[in-house]
Amino acid sequence: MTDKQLKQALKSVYQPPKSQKKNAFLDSIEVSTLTMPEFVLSQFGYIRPWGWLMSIGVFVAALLLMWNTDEQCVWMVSALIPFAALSTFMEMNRSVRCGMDELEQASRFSLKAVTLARLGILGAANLILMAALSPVIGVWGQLTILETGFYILCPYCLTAFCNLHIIRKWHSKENLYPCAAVTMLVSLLCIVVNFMTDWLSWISSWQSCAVITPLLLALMLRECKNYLSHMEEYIWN
Amino acid sequence: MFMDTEELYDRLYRYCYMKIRHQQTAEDITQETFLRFLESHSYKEIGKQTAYLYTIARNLCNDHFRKQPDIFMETAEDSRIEDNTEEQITNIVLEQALQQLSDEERELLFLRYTNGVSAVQTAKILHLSRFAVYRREKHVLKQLQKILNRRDFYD
Repeated sequence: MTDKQLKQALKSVYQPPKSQKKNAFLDSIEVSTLTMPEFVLSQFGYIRPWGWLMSIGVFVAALLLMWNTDEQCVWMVSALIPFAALSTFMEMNRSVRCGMDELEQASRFSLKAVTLARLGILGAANLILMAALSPVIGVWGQLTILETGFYILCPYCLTAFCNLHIIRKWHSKENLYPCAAVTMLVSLLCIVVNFMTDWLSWISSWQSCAVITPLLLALMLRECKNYLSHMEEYIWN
Repeated sequence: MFMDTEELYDRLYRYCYMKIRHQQTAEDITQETFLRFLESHSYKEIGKQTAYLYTIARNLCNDHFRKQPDIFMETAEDSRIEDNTEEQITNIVLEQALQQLSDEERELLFLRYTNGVSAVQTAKILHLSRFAVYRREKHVLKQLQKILNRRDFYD
């Protein structure tokens, strides 16, 4: 036997008996061949129409307010924005409210993937609507883009952070009510701030814009990450 | 190199069989390896993470030996007792010669020549550097030749 023959012979050693369960096993683990964009697109159909309607309704109402009132109405728009956030987070928490979360954990796609996809879709839709609303408010309210962004993003991020915190800490079917209450409070806060002119002038300064909005955005993203990373643990606990 | 899942299954099964020498257990460990991999990775990554899959399989085989050190192991003669072709005889002699090597040496030859794992992947699986893999491979092949020479099987 030469070196070459030895190397060739080594290829055929340790031939195991024919596998008996291979095909059944491979069939059982083979999951969807959907690509990521296809999976995300497939989730559009599962978002309830009222979730879309509520988000769109908020922005239509904001436009109508802008059309019919003076420049001070920017705070009214800010007071409406938290309801768009509420609709997003209630859609996200639908499995828990309907008691379907355990079932969805064992389904074709994990609950985490489904929630993340829907949250991404609704969040992106809200972001697009806010981006569209921003220049309109800027022109009608005679504000800079930064101020407009702050007025819109600040209540949205604050509501999102509070709602996510409630959903994460209070894992119950009844968490719609505290979330709605917090949303109303944030909305009310926006209206109250309108009458506090001293604070208003401080709050709309460049410095506060640069600090509060990114801070709330970071808190919201952190809370979102915490919720998604502990999702399975909360369900089985 | 990306590998077909079925092909990878066959290779892992063969690897587990080489270590365990028991069909049913080797198959169970192969399937357990895939399931453990899928706990933290997606199905699409299976073909891209060969070294990781081999490492899981290796650890599972070690765990198995730790739990059942006296398990019955099939030998080459047991599994092919009725075959008498020249190729089968060569395999039996070669497997007997390989049994005289240490576990690590046998594993190295198996990965490189039987399963055709690249030197880089083998280095990852065995926690060696790529150069150490080449060096040891050369050394172990010479050792195997010596063993076969003693049996008048090597020219």
